Amino acid sequence: MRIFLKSIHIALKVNLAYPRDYLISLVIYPFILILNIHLFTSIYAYSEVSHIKGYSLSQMIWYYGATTFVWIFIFNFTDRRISNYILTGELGLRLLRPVSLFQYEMANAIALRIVGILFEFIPGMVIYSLIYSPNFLTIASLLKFFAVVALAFVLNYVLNFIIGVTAFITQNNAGFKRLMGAVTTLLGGAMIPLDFFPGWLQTVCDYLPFKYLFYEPVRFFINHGDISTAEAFYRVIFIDIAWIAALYIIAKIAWKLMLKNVVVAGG
Amino acid sequence: MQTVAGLLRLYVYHMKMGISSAMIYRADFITGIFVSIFVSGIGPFVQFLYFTHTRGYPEWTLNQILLFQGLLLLWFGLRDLLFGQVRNTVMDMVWKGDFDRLLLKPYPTVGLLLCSGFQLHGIGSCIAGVLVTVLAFHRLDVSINLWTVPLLIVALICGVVLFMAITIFYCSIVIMLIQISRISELFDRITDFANYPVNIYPLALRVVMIVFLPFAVWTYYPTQILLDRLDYGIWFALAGCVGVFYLSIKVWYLCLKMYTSAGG
Repeated sequence: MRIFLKSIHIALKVNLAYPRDYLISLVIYPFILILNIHLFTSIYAYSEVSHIKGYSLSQMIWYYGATTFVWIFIFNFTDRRISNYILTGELGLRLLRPVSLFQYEMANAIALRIVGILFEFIPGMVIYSLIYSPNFLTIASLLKFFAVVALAFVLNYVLNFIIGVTAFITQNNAGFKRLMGAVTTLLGGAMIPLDFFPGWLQTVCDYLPFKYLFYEPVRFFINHGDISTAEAFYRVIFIDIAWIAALYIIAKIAWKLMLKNVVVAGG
Repeated sequence: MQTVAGLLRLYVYHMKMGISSAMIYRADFITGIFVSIFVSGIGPFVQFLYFTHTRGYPEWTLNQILLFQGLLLLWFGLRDLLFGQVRNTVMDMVWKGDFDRLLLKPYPTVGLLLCSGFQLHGIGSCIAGVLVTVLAFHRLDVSINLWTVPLLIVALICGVVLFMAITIFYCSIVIMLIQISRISELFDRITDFANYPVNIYPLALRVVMIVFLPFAVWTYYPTQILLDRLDYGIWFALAGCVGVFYLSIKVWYLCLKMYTSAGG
């Protein structure tokens, strides 16, 4: 645990070296929000409705803002970093460290997100709220969002770790990473709320972990009517934990299998 | 003229290098093309979902927006194919201090940077764009008149010129600020406004997108040309592209003058 905490501390120092990179989000966010305001105002006005698929105009505009916030909480480079270790031969060095690669990368991801929350989420939330007031937001919905998005972070980390491990087979897994990125964002509900999908596709999404990365956290954030009960909240938490446990086992098995065949040049 | 010919030769050389380097990881490249086609299909799919659950955008039917999406994908593919690598190249060069080498070459520095832009991965979006455009053509029964093709070619050339201008602005910022990797994201978010028909925006924003930052020339006007409902705004947009390009060159030389080499 001490080594793990130390790893987080070191990664925090590295990530804090270039705070300007994070602060640029403050310039980016208004553009995203303004685009969504115009887009959905036009759609809602032209359709002459106050709600579409259970989303009010402000909830729909904020849906995409909240998706950006979810990215801030869950994003990490683990897949790319593992692929780079293999491509550059750095993997040998990493394997000699007194902390496992899983823990080391987890520490790095945690540090990265701490900086992201400080420099992107908090100011971003203020800027968004000033431009378009989140009239649906309550303390309870925000707290539920934090709980669900924390689990989404772990889930995304384990998924990325598994994708990173595929680089043992392909060396350069950029194409696969892109595919997974597209599947995750589409079937996770980051591109469009899953309620818009045809019934059969919604059923497919129910059996995949991706909706717990975006769709569910975002719905808690925008305080969607369907998830207002405590039962709905605990159900999401339970499924989240189940997915994390299942994927963790897969990650461990994949790592052990791949490590047996690894050859580090010069190592 | 000699300079342009030289730069074109250099571009072809970079193109060959790009293809060779993509072929080293052939499996990844082929996967990348399929992924690119799949990813490109998401945009039209999302629009389809919006149009089936709402009335869509004013003045646009589902098939018309399909044509818009097809041309948008075609444009994305083309711009990535032509200049997709420039951002990475300039960022990498400035970070590593290699940018100074470009200043010694017998060609304009900005030309050299633009010549390094070829990125084969853009072909995936092009394929997806052609597929969606052909499908939309089939469903819309578009009629092509005498002016359609020349106007489309002019719009395409001006669109490329505008994208070059935006890339030059990007390069200018990178050589000044050195270590801001997310500048790219900022540019992408601004150009995202071009991903939707201009008429959904309020008047002030519409004027900006037609005259001052004429993103409308990339997809909106080509679609309007094909749908035979062009307005005089296109002439402002075409002139705007040339104006923005001129401005970008001015800004580039200004930034280059202030560039302080190693260590920023």
